[in-house]
Amino acid sequence: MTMNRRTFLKSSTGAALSAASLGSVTATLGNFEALAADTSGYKALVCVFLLGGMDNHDTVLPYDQASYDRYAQIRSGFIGAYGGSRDRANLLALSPDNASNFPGREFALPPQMAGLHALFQQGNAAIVGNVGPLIQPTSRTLFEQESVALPPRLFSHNDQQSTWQSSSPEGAQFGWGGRFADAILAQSSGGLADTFTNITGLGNELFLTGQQASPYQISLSGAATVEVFEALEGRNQTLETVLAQHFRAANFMGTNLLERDMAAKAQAAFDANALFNQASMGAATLQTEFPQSFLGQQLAAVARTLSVRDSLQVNRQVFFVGIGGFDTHDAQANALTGLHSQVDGAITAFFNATQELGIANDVTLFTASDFGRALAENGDGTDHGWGAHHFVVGGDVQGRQILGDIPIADFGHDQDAGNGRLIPTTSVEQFAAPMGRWLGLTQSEVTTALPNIVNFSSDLNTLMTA
Amino acid sequence: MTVPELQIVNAATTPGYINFMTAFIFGGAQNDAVAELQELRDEGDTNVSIEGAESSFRPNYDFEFDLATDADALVDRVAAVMTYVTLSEDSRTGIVDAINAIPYDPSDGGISAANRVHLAILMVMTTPDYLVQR
Repeated sequence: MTMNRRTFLKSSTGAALSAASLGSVTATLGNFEALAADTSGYKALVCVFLLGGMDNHDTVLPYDQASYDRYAQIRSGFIGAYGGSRDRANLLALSPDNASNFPGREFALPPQMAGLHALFQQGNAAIVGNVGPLIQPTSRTLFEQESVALPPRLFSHNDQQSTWQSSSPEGAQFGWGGRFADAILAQSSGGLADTFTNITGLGNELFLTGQQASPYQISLSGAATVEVFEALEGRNQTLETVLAQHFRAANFMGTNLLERDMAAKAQAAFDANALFNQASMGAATLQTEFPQSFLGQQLAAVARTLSVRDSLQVNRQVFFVGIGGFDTHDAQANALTGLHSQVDGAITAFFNATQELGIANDVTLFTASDFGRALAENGDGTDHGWGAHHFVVGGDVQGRQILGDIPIADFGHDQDAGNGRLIPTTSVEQFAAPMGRWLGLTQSEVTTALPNIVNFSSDLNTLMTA
Repeated sequence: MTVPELQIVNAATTPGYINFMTAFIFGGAQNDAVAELQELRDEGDTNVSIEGAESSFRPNYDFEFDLATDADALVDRVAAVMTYVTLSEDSRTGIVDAINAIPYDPSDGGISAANRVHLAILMVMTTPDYLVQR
């Protein structure tokens, strides 16, 4: 008798099937399902990188009277320079559903973050407190005794940007956005997905680079262009045709392997740009207005790209955008308030655009930064820190929660690495893991993407609803 | 992809390289730099001479300008200097076609001659023959 599905079903419903074998069948099916990333439907992850190190203490502020008073005392050197926007009465109080995790304590956002505050209160944004690079759980005692493995070159901009993105300092090859995409592409590679799964609005980003995945770069107005053609302005069609073939290495017949690779890369580049521009012609005209800021325009370009996801033939995407200016060693009151407004306006518009496109539950945005900053002030600014507080925004985010921890705004506590620089209580990898699973990765693929996650007994498994 | 070096050759860096070289070969980048230097001199922040900067950063294409009327001779000269005569025939054909597509006008004050020379250099420097050092 040949075994087909019908006979299998018939035999499997028979009385001879023991509970033990049922268990093993279930286990086998479980393993089978866990082998590969789920790439059904559409989902996108968007990293907003705040270059320079955003001051966590000045972003999620203490709001209960006693904590606020202590904070205002510590920051008394320049809190007056905010023109009232750090007065307790002007802060936007948060009412997290998990307030009981912080007995006697309250938190608020600055008045420049009214949009993110609303998203939090509506349940579409969560805050993850004190997240940062760690290799293994790290206490102040272990840190001071130097008896724990630490991420190399803490407090250094380029190294910690790299570590946030890739778990390794400057020189790293692959980022976790790239590794997540590798797992996706292992299921759905071929065609345009190879080119358009990972997209950057900023540069050739480590975060998006994997073994297979590489970032496709878009400008604010679409694909990158060759300026010679703009200069010609269509006045010499013969020349334009010859030049286009030349730059695309279309007629290159050389046999040298490296030269052939180079020619293939040039062809792929120009073909990708042409495809992207062609697909972009079908981009939605959004009613949502984006701010004219650099971040606003980058996220507008991401939203337009989301609207042509079908033409780009992708069902999973990872985006990277960002702005600089957060290294507020001086004039923090002036600089950070403007940056907060920019972040707030851009992210709020982006969430609204995903609602307009009907994919608010399919897009998750998170903020990241080199590091947080010291609680101690240096006169009119703050110096480099470590752990920081970040936002995760999207319809599938279990919002209105403050996950992780927000150490008290004071010195000498168990997470104080000195001067109120926070030793993270949640590692970047614990923060990343639930977003990887949400994207469809199996736990084993998440573990492959995040090399230190095995050193932690859990991750932020309540960050996402699904 | 067979070598890691090509990881940085992508849809943004490919046009990016062409644009970067265009700015230097056609002289726009040097014009901007000289203008900035002039500002610094005007503000008394430097005494670096304009002539010195020009001679350091602006390539001298006089020899090539003399060949501008003859596309074959011009491309052969650039190929000799930049690729040690290893420019492949198919690459060469495309470049000669492009140069011939720029009408030479002896009465335009050297504009068409300069365009021919600059474009020949840009095109040689964007061939796989030139980009892979052998």
